[in-house]
Amino acid sequence: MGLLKVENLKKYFGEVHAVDDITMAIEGGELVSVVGPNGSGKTTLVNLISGALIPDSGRIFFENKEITKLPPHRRVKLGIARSFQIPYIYENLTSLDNIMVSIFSRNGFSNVFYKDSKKYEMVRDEAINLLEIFGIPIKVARELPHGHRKLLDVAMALSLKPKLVLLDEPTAGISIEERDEVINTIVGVLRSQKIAAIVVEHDMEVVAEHSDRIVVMNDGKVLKEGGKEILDNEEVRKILIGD
Amino acid sequence: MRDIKKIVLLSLGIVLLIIVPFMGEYITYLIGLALLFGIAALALNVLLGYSGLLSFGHALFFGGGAYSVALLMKHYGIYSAEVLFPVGIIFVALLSLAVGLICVRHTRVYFTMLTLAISELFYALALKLRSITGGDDGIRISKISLFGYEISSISEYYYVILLTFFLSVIILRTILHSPFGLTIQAIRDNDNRVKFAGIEVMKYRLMAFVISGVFSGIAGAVYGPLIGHVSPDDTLSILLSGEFVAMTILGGYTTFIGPIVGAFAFTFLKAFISSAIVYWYLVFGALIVGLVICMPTGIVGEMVKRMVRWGF
Repeated sequence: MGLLKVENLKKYFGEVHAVDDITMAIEGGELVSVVGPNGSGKTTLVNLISGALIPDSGRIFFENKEITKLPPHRRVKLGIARSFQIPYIYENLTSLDNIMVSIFSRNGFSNVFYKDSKKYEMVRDEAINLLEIFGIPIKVARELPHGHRKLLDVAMALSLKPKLVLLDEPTAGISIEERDEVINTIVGVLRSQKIAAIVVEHDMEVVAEHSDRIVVMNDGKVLKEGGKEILDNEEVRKILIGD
Repeated sequence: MRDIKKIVLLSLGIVLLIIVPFMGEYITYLIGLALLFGIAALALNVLLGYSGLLSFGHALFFGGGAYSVALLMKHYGIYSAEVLFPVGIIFVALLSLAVGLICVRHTRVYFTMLTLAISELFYALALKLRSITGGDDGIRISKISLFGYEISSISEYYYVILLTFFLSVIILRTILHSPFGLTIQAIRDNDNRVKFAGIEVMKYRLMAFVISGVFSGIAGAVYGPLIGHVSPDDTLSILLSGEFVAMTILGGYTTFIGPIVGAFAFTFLKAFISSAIVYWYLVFGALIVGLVICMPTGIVGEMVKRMVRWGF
């Protein structure tokens, strides 16, 4: 049984066929990378699965339940979380509070009107632990450097303990020296908690090393799908690297 | 730092509790007024500071509380505070739920305009439904009792106000420091991201709106008997809505206690300046302009900034 199934998904923006008849499936715990040139529809696909956009046609199933038109917050409750290409965080809250908002929501505490110190401490400890794993200091979010902001965004998604997480270019803007460590940390969490992931990436090495499967997109369509050997395919190389 | 804060709060508590009632009727009255405006400004700040929504119609809830008390007195002859205040609170809760359902679907200037328009609607109703509300003459409040005891002086009623104030501050502080309080601040900062944390934005905005409305209403309900009179201009006008916003910004909307400080500064400045010259609003206007330019985070915001700089 697939965790996520996408059937004939289409999303057009006027003349632009951002996502054009995509069908794919993802198993529980599987790590799938989506690669492709700019404008190939990768982010649109993530937006459709997370509920940021509603498709023009086609259907999306999560654990055999149709979620095509479900609002984002209800998809989160089912177990789909996401991060964003440009860090999308609560700027005036501390990094700790940024994470705690998600954990409160996951535990159904968000509408609790008093500070239950026992539960509060539990959530706080979990958040601090996650910040430590990612090496993010406790600081007001707007004062964090780009790399930490980017990681905080990913940590916010993972703190929801989803079954499936959609990571939109998790290493974009992070220096090449730090990139390996960052991706190892993220993949470590994904593997240890058996979280399935769709990772949109530019860095081919990252993709080749860690993915169970690679999906190559071009012009809103799936061009090729398979193991890392498909990155050596001539057609794929031409699209990704240019001629 | 913690100790200093405790000592300051404790001494303020003692002054409010023991000394104020003996400072003469006028000062007691002014402080009672400032305490009630303090509750209203705190309530407004649940929306402005914590939810990022500017309401220019909060006099509606203040007036809603004041009028529900006054109308019960006028038409049903009920004078017991223990009946009047709870009924007033329930009425305002329903009112803010209804108004909130309309307003929280919108944000920014659209939200602000809606609150302003709806409050004007009720202001007009209070003016025109003369047979019920007494029109622009309003309703006189001659007496009030608490569990059979008739409250006869301002210094006695002051204790009702003080109790209301302490309870409101404690409850609002608890709410704003809870997981709910954190969630509405996250919504304020990024109302799109929170959806992807599994949070239904509208529901939380509505809850914040009702909490804000209810506490404004509580302040209004207690206000009538202090003034002895409830009229549209005193309790429902757009001017009062603007004054609540001014108090909140004057004290500082980025801190919890800012609005209380703002309410005190506003009430005393208004009383003293308008007794000296007739152009209170001229001074007030200049004050707000100066404030927004020089201290955008208000009195308390500025103080906190300076204390951090001085290494407290």
